[in-house]
Amino acid sequence: MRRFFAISMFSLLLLCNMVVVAAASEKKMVLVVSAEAGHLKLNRSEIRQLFFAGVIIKDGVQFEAVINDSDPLLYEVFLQKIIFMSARAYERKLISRVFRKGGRRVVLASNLESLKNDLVANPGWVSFMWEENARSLPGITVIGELWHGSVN
Amino acid sequence: MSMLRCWLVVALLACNLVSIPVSYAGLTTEFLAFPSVTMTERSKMPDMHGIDKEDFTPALDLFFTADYDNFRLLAEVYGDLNGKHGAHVERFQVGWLPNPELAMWFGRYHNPVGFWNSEYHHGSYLQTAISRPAILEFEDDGGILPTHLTGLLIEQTVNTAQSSWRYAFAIGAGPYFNQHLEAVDLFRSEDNSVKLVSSLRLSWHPSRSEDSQVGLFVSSATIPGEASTFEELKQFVGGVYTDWHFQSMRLTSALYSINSDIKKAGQDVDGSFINGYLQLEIPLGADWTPYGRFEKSQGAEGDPFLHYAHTFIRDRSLIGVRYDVTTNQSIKLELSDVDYAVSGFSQATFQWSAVFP
Repeated sequence: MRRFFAISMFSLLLLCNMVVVAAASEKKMVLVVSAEAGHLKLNRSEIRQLFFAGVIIKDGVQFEAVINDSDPLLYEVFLQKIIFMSARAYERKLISRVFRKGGRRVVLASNLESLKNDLVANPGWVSFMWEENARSLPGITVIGELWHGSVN
Repeated sequence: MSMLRCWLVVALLACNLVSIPVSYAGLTTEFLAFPSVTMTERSKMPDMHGIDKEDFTPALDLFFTADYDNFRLLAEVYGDLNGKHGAHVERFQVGWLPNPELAMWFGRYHNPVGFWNSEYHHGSYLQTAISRPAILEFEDDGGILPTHLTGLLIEQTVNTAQSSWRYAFAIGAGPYFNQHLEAVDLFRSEDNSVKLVSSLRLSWHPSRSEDSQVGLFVSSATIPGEASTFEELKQFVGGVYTDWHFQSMRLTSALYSINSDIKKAGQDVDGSFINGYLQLEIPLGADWTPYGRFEKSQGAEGDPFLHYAHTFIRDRSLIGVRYDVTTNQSIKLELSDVDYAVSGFSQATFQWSAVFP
């Protein structure tokens, strides 16, 4: 009986551990803007267009893209699930656009705090981050979910 | 290279030092440098004027752009170090952009005659292949079409729900002919007279967030000639092109119809020919991109202008591979069979190219 109880407890602990691990690797990537611009909406196609062109205008509002480069895993998921390109191909494409038409390269943010400050200071600037980060940063708001799933 | 151009290059380099990128009081700037080293070896090659059995060409293309309010400046300077091409201001445009969909440019720009010329400009790194299609070679590399114009360029995008239409209209001073076509040089006083070239390109992009496009174009040019060649060439070009992406594969092709009317010693001689190219790129993973291109001319012997354009490649087939070494550097190897009017040969070309910063 004691042996059966020990095995049951061990199995339960193992199961709990698996659930915790699965929950920990479940991630949600969201689109964020400053809280002031929280009413703005972009569909899937417009989001891709924004992150290729750097700037788009919708309903008279100018949107500017900011690439969140602060987390390599986040950037990799963004490239695979939203852009459908390798980092090399995507960066070549961004340079190619500037070379053809001029203008500024898409802004890169390598620090979450400075990204938050940029978004708050510039309503219309759009970026992406993990939902847990977005919820913890004051002054910014989520305007859409880009992807969710488990990551290793 | 004239003193003015030297200073322009120095100014562009200075911009690099101070602006990567700069954003100050509404002024934003970007600077890009495209260095490249190209080596070519030709086999079974007869003696041909203007073409060596081997080439070694270190080159640098510098690009600078600045935005202030609704105005934009674009400047591109290309130079090689083997003295064949020298240094030239390839683009120098000032534009008014009332919105992201409309741009009106004044200055020296690349003629929108087809797709390639306004897609890659002089930045070797950005194009998958080493070589350009012969029909779109630059004037001083033996090209037969005006690729640089100086004047007005209007570009506009008209969006629909999912797709978009774009047009580019260009009118400006074109090249003159002196052994080869020579485009107007903004920073050098010229004695040669030039005449107007006008071009119109219309393209349809099925998705606003993807790259695929199909288009058509027309161009009309009057090109004065040097006394020992001809008095005047009237050239009319029409054609269609496509740049299509099938998942990771890419197909780029164009078909050109060229009509030439040459006035010489009071007589008119006219003729026409067709030229086309088709390039296929099949990436293997993130780093390797094998590619192949086929170029063909039909009826070239009947075109009177091609009698003066000895270094125009009439037919070419090539295969190559591009390897992206890092996110900003690539090496490429290209093997090709080329046919000129009087002879043909094989060549192997290796290139390292990059973009900084």
